[in-house]
Amino acid sequence: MFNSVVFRDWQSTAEGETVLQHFYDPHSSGRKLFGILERPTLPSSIEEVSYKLFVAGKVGVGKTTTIARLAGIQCTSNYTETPGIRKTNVYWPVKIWDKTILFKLQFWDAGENSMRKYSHVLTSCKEKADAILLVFSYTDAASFHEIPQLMSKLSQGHHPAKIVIGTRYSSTNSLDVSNAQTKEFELKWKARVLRMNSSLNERNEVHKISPIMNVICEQLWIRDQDYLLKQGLNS
Amino acid sequence: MTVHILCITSAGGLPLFTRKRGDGEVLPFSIVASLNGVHMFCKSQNVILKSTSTPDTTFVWEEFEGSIILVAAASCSNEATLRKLLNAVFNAMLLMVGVDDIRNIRNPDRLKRELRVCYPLIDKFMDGMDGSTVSNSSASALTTRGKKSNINSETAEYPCCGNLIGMSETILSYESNDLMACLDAYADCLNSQFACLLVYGRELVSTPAWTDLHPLERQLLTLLTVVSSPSTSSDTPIFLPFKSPSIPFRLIWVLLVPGVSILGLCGPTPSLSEAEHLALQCWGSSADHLRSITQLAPRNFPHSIQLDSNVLGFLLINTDVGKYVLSYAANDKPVWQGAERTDNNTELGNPVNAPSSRHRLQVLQTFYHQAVEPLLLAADTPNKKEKGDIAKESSPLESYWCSEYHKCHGIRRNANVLCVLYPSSVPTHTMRMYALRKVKDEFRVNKCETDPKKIEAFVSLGKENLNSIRRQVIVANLYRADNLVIEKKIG
Repeated sequence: MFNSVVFRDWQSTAEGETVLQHFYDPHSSGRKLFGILERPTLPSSIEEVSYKLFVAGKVGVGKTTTIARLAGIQCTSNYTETPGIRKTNVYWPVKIWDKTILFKLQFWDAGENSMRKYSHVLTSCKEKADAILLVFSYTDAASFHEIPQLMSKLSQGHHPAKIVIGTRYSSTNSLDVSNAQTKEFELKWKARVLRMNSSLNERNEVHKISPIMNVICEQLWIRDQDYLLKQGLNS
Repeated sequence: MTVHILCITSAGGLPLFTRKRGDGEVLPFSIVASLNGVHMFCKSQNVILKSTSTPDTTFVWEEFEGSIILVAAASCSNEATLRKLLNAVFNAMLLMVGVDDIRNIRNPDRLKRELRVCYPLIDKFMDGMDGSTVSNSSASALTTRGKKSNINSETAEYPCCGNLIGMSETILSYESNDLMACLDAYADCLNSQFACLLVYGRELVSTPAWTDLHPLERQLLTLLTVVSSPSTSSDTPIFLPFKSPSIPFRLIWVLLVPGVSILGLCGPTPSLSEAEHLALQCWGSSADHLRSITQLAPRNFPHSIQLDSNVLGFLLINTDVGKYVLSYAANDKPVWQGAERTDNNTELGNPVNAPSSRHRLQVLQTFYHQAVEPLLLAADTPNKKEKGDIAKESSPLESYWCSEYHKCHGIRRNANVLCVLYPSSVPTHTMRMYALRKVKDEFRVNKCETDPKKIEAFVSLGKENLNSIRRQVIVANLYRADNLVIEKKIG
């Protein structure tokens, strides 16, 4: 079911490390957040592909923190609700077969209250999204149970790729969402469930996040290939 | 020092939120209830309770729109400052929620949820109440003097002071005019009159309509971008507390290069992705230029202007336009050597014991709150204005502060206030002369200022300083002492 297209541990290889050098922020321990006028300094032969991802989930499960961790930037530890829409561009180099491809992932995130109060917020987040990133918390069973409903509500129309991320995962503490439940979910809905632990250890953050980033990129890539295949059959 | 803010509905006495900064205990519910109770009791007797103080805490009450009561409680702070804080907090609530939902509270629980987005703004205001309460991260930077913590805390963010309530922080550059053209083009594309270019949360250039906004509105809008979690762009529905309290605008913020971003206020169109695309079109060619501008921070004025090495930092305020420039690294090398800052200080001949830049920022802030705000700006308070010019003339123009480690000097000329921080080795009487010379420098800094009002203000400032220097020379001649033996010419 989940065949691997993307070279999984490529970011840890010598080649991957060299490319990733261009993504770090020299002033902090994390990665750099690029403004819209720039991109990582990579050879122009590397192709860039851009995707829009809408991050959805119950209020307070850690959507904004998840994005900050995927982007490799520091995020304030205390919880605040997101006002309006936040869009975060994350660049991520991926090795697919023998080609290095630069993924530009545009994560869209919006606060629950502004979504309710202003209709344009949800509309512009959903519009032409290539993927929906559904976030739930391992410590909140309700946030997990509402995922299927959320998924069917958001994926009407243009069939975005679906990726599920569980936050606050811990292998030692007891969790409100069991591994059996997530397994069942994966089989039933044919969507990957990724785990993100709550440790704030910043060392080697890139290598902890890279499996998640690789899966996200892979799902987007597969969706494109399927689309191209269908187009080819129709014409 | 601890600051508490309580927000309670007038009608039902329901607490909407409480915020606390500093290391004191959270106020127990019984105290919150009695603080509200005593205000309510007075109200029922047709008395308005404004403030009270205990030996170590000042309490201030204020009712807004007849529906919300805000209470501030703080140690070592004066009533006027706390009232200003409450006003800023209420405007932050208006900014995010709008006046209609606050005036008619139909569902307190919903309002409570909606107000959650204001917390970062409110906390930021409370942080700025006193230099000593700057958030935990900065406090640790002060105690751990290790190089690593300096790198993380100082070069990563350039702490935006941004908390002289009711004023917006600016950054001075000679190149503002070139950027103005780009900004105008961008505002046109957005179909908006309101746009502003920010460098580390400080205004660099802004459209005339933006400058005409109330200073507190400008401060709130820029602070909102500073306190929100890092992202590439954002689209936030906001209300303008003074200009448009019941019709929301969309605040579009786009990060151009790290540290430099643009703000625009617009209606239903264009969408966030379109706005980003327009920003790319308008600014695409100036990426390098914008990157070079970030090197002004945290000095905040052009590197071509050199100041005396004894000037550790300064704060220049114009109360008419509600803007200020703060430099706590007046003599530091440009940013790209920022990590080595402490070494540079000694190289430049700065006193070895000079306070760290974080400390300098705190001292200047405390000086502003404790000496400048109550004394120098006293003439601006409404009850004194009624008495006319006499009060203004009799209000103090200068203020001195001397401590074991540093000295501060504040000087007021019309709407301009300049505070300078010196090491303690500088003789007190020479501070005045430094300040005047510094004002002249300031005058040069403002050469690029395009706002004619501001130019006029600075011209008169320069003239007045000239006069006072003349007076000083005359006085010095009157009391001239005979030359000392070693000064006498031989023969």
